[in-house]
Amino acid sequence: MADLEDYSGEFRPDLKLTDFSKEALVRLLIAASKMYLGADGMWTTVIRQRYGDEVALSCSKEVWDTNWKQELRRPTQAMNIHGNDIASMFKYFQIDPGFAVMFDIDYELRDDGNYGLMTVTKCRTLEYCERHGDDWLLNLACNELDKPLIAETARFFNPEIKTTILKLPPRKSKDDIACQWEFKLET
Amino acid sequence: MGDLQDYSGPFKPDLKLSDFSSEALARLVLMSGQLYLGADGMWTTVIRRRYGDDVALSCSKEVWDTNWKHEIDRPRKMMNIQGNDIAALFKCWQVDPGFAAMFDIDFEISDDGKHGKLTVTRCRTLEYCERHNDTWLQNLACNELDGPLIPRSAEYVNPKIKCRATKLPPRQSPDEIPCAWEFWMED
Repeated sequence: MADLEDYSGEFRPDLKLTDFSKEALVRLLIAASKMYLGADGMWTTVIRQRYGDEVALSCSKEVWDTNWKQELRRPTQAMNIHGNDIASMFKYFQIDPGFAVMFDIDYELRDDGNYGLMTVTKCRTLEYCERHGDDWLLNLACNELDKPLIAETARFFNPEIKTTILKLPPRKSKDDIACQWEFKLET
Repeated sequence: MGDLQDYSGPFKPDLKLSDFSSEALARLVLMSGQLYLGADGMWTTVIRRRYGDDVALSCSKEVWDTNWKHEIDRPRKMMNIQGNDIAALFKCWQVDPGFAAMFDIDFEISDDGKHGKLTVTRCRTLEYCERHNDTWLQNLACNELDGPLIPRSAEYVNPKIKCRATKLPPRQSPDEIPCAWEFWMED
């Protein structure tokens, strides 16, 4: 097995992804994640330009009403993540191309795993919205999509996991965290 | 640095993606590609259901009129692919999460590097269309999008790279290849 640090060298007709070093594969994974969320963003932009904010909001919600389950099923299957506790859910978040692969997130577990705190310290979507002064997109991403879908994801792992939002955008300063979530498994 | 084969073990609060083995990371890249094309497919489905085939076709073409460039640029940058010949183009596609990372593709280049052949031997999008007997989606993917975007991608890497499809779907049997393309460098 080769251990290519990048693909600046010669063309290999029989290249396999595993020919790359782990660091190179991580970079490729981040590129794939950006393409994933970028494609969704491009669709939102096109529909918004053609049909306006309300239609784009409604279409986006309909897309994610199905898509969030794919974003849950595929990574958990690929990485063999099982279990129905908060730790299992955090494991999924950590390797989700639409979430922690893209963003910086801290996780804390307490009370024998029955309490979890998740803090998004860097969110590229929020930074994009702030950079472009796009409050509509910020509201779509944070309030209309993530707010219900993160709670839904917690219930999918275990209906007894209760979600509380401690902090959501907008934020006063770029030094603030992006958002913070509390999860409690009621036993 | 660890070498986790998957994430079936305990939760690691300080997990880094590079803690996974190359094989696990390659699975994550493949899965991200599936999410990427899946999200695009979901948007197409929603717009098609709401506004009909013609609007969905037009929106999809508008989305990909911008998106195709990201699909060359992001992997090229992340993997430090230099050059502007057919080999450089093929290298971009080999690591593209929306192309060869998802599909089985054979690449051949002549000794002088001026001719290339690309043969898709397994295409998950075509298989989906065949499974659902969705000739509209197959026409969108193969004729309306890939038909013009593969030549545009080639010319984006180098305006002298020309190409033509030697085989495109539909196919008579699942034993046939989905598509094949020839590339040549103009003098």
